[in-house]
Amino acid sequence: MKPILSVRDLQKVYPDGTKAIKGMSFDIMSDERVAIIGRSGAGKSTLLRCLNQLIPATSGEVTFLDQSVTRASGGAVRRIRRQIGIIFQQFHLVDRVSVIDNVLHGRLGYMNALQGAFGLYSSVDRKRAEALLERVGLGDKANQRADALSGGQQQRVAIARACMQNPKLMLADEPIASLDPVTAITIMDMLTQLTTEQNIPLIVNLHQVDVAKTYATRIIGVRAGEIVYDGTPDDLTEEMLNWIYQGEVTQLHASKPVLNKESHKVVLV
Amino acid sequence: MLQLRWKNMLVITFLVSMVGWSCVASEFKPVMVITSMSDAFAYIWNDFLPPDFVNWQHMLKYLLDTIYMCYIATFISVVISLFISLCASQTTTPVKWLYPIARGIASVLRTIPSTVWVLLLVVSVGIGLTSGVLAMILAGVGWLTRAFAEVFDEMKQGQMEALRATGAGWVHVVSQGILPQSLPAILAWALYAFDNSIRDSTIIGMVGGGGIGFYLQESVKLFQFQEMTAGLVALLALIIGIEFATNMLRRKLL
Amino acid sequence: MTSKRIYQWFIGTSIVLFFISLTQVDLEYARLTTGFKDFAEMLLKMFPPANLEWDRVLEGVLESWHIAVVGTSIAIVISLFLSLTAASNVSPMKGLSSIVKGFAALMRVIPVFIWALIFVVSLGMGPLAGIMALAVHSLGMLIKVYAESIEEVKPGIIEAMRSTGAGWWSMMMRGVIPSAMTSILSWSLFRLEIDLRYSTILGMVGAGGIGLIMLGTLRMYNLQATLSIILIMFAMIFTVEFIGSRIKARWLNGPTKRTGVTIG
Ligand SMILES: Nc1ncnc2c1ncn2[C@@H]1O[C@H](COP(=O)(O)OP(=O)(O)OP(=O)(O)O)[C@@H](O)[C@H]1O
Ligand SMILES: [Mg+2]
Repeated sequence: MKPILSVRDLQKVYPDGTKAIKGMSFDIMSDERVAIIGRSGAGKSTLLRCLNQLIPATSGEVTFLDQSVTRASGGAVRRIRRQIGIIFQQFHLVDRVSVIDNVLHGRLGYMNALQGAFGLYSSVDRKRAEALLERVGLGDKANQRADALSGGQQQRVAIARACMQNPKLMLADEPIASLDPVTAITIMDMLTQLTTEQNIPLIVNLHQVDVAKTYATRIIGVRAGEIVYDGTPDDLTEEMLNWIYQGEVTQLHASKPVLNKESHKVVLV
Repeated sequence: MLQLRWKNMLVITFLVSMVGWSCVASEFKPVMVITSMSDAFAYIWNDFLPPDFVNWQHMLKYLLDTIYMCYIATFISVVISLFISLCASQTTTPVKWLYPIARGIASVLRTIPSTVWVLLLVVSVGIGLTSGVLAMILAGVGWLTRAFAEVFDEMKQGQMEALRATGAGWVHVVSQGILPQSLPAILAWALYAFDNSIRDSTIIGMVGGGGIGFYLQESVKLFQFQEMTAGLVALLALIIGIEFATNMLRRKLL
Repeated sequence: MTSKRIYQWFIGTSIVLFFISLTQVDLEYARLTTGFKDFAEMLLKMFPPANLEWDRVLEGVLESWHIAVVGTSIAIVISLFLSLTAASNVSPMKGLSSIVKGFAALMRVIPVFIWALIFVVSLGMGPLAGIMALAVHSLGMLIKVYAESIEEVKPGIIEAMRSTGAGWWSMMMRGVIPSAMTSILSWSLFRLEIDLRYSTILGMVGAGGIGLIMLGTLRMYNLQATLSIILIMFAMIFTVEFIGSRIKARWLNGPTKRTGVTIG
């Protein structure tokens, strides 16, 4: 099987000289759910943004579905970006427009300047947006303004927006960091279900090791811009965690959440 | 939600028809933006540029006049406004019935544009600096009074009463309590007024009130467009310079 | 120096400068007193306000409003576009932002009456000169404030739109402008208010509207008619201010602190 995404010796140096990523390499297969963990400032967000060129990499190579991301420019970048969905910690919806319009923004990458600028979405897209909203449980909120929604609801809209892109890869940068524990679980469930259904890989930056262990099929530990762990959740030892976090492991719950493999629901034990 | 959409549509239709009506009534066509802009800028390019500073001594005199004129007018307006505004604030007015009168004077002075004052003064007093200064004072008193009164309004009633309780008379309360308290705000407004008067002086001069505006208008009347541009350059330098200076002072003082 | 000393020093200097200024300009002090008397006498002669040729006056009033509405609208349309190139967070080219901002600053710093003068000279007397003068001057302000509003759009929103692969136009029209809309609307309204006030007096330099009519009556020394027109101007400006403050209070959390904005 060919990897969907492959990263080779990726480096990022910010203009101020900060070496955020110091040479990372890994491959992502279509059936993988990868959690990236690491301390604050380890370079997780930077890595994720290099994967769709929201931040240009300094050197190294990112290949997505046989196209080079790092060497793409102009229209090619846009064509790559529209195939990669990304979810942010702060949701980043356009507050002042309706929920349904925010979902439809996921189609903008497929439209020309005129259609896009005036929001002339096709009726197929509209139907699909409604269906997706229904899917994330917000069918009745379609015409509300996005800022009228709670944080968890906004994140669900963001997920719908990303799915609207028909992505071949889903990225999430700390998608649950500003949500309460229960909402956090719904969001993680939703991401897991949707990506599994579409058979696309999910790469998610997480602060909570327990959540990462529950949901991910593979964990990448990042420390000071370098990958220090890459393996299954089960092999992730306490010593390793201490090494990654330098003794600052964050726990979301006092009790332990466990994923029920059939219902895709998480229960606290 | 649907209701809101409706309302939006209504507002937009209203606005568009307003603009449409205005365009039709003033015989304005959108292409005229381009045609008249290009006409005007061609004109500027051919006739107004480059600036011609031959008459710089003459120009400098008008420029200096402008500064003096604005300074004198601002100074006098501040002094007069201080008195009127003390009456125009409910916190500080010595006698209750003075309050509406002071407010009324201020709002009439403020609402009538300074150009109107100049035009009237030019008719009775004659063209020149004197008319300009008087007009500036009238306009300045109008809005400074309101600004000062707002400053006094914001002062706490309690402080006034505490001073009154010591048996101090109105003059005493004002000079010992109110003025020192509100001095920074008053000075800030005074600086702003000076700034503003420099910008205002253009139009005041153009309708006969002396200063650089008068020079600009005269150059145009004599078809000395390049000299007018020179005057304009000097004026812009003055506006920017004064703004810079007052900003510095403001930072020092406040 | 203590702050009290600074203030004393400042006020002292101001007073000294005041007297120096008085000696530097040739104010006709004799004229000042008699002039004031003449002025007062003239003001009295203006009463009672005279009946006017109402249709001409109405025409003038409407013309003033039309000048303001058209001038502001032109400025809004052009500024909306140019501010997108001026806002540093979304500007499509690096150097463009400062060029457009510099252009706006120049338009803004040249007083509106100078623009009126220039347009009257190049386009002739009449409403077109007024419209263009207001449009150009408003442009200078609107580009700046729109660009500032756009620069306040949360970077995350822009990043999220970029990540969907949306093109520049789509991003602007679907994400950036809607996000800055409230602020753009209230600035536009604020500018309309300013322009409506300008338009009543712009006529005094030949740019059409009610101001031009007043210039006429004054030239003919028809004082009572002049007073009538002044009262009309007063009413116009007052109405604009009143409606403006109502709208601001009711619908918009308008631009901050606006007291003290005066016009020629
Ligand atoms: N725009 C920038 N310019 C300069 N340095 C930056 C920039 N963005 C991030 N950095 C630096 O790069 C390093 C990695 O940052 P990054 O945001 O990727 O970390 P992170 O792992 O996502 O942290 P967190 O968990 O706090 O989100 C940090 O040292 C950070 O200070
Ligand atoms: Mg991060």
